[in-house]
Amino acid sequence: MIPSIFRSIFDWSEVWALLIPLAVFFFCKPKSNWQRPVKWYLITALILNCSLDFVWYVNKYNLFDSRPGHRWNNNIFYNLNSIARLFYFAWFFNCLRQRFMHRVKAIIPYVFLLFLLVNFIFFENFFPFGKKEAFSSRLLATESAFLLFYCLQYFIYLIVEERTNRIAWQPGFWIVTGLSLYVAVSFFIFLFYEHLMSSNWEFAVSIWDVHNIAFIILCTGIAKQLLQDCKKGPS
Amino acid sequence: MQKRTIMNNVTYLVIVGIAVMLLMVVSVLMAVIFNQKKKNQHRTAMEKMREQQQNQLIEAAVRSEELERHRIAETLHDEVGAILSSAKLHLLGIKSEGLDERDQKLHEKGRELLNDVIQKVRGISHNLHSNILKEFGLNEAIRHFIKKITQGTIIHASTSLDDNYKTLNADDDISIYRIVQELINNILKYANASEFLISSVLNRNELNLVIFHNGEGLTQEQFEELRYQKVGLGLKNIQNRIILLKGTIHFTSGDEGYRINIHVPVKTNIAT
Repeated sequence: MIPSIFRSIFDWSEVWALLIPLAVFFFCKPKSNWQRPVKWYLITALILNCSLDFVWYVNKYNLFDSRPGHRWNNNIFYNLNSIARLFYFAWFFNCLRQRFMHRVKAIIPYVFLLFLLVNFIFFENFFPFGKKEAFSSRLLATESAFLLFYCLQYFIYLIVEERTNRIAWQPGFWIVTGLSLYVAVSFFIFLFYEHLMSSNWEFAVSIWDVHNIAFIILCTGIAKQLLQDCKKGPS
Repeated sequence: MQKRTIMNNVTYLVIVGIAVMLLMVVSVLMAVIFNQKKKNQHRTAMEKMREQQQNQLIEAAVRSEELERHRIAETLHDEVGAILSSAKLHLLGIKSEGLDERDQKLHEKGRELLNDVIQKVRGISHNLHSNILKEFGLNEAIRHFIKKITQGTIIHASTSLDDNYKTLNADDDISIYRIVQELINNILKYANASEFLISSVLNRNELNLVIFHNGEGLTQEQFEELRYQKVGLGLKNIQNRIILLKGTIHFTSGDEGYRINIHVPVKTNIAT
């Protein structure tokens, strides 16, 4: 009984983990200029994750039509989530105003947009209609790679910049730390997930738990940053 | 069989991939933290060096000021004082009996004025020089200074100084004495106080001096503001000497009056 409760709690972690930083937002209303993209990401991710977990729940318990071929597909929400994540975090890194690789950082969203158009016009199907699965490993892995680049350049900036002191109090440090751990864990999961779903379903389900743990770490990092921002004041 | 091998390979690839990526991110994070530590150490060393240089400059300024005071005091005492004493002898050499009443009065007045000047010059010379301080110590010097400065005034001054205090560093005493001198002069000039008290307590290796008066004194904010102004030379000197002594000074006000607390770490030969 207890393990099944834990299992359910863990399955819904993509939803409740987002409520931690959102609660901090609600109670202490941080004022930093980077908080807007983070707030909008959390709201968007909450809506999308609620939708995808609801679809998963419907499929798991056959709530509506359980006939083969009539199962709902939630992969579109993962695709949308991935696109939203990249654009919101690109906005977030831009708001940090670090004078380092700013041209590359500014170009990345446009490169990603071009990739989206090319990939979904010529190679993959964005909407799952008529398709068995529409989980785009290519999209999610590319998004993770770009985010990882953003995170690494942030850390390199902290190393090369002479004036930085108390790194834990740098604007966005905890968010970037959480994000870097999340994308580092997720990159290989996303890259091979499409393949794993067809070849090793059990492992695919298990490895998604690792992804969920990384997502909880990301949300905790965001919450920690917001709390710190409330104590310190706008940065 | 082949499908199973591919499946296993992908599984291993995912696990190893996650491990490598995590290792990379953790390594970068560690590099950031170590780099930050190194930067902080360097910054602390630089700040320490800058502070040392600043202290050396302050020390040089204070020492040169003290030397100049000594030079002026010695000139006043040995040269001006000697000339004035000689002038007095010459004046006393004039036989006043043969003079008429008007000239006798003038002679008498001249003698009085000359005596006054000699006393004044001696007073200034003693004030600038730290003879009493060197011979009898800080407490006696403060008592002597207070007695001298309030003589002939309506100000009521009292002292309550800890006689356990015996310094090992005479230079520190000179600085403390000059701070007290400057603060008392300021109280007499600007505070319109009718009463003040100087007390000191030796607490282990710290001398706590308190100057209390019932006039219009300074608050800490006013002190901080004034010492950065061009006119506040005395307050700048006080602050420089406090920095040199590695002490602190706090100005507070209450219902009864104003209080100046000075804490100075000192080297003493008394174990308390």
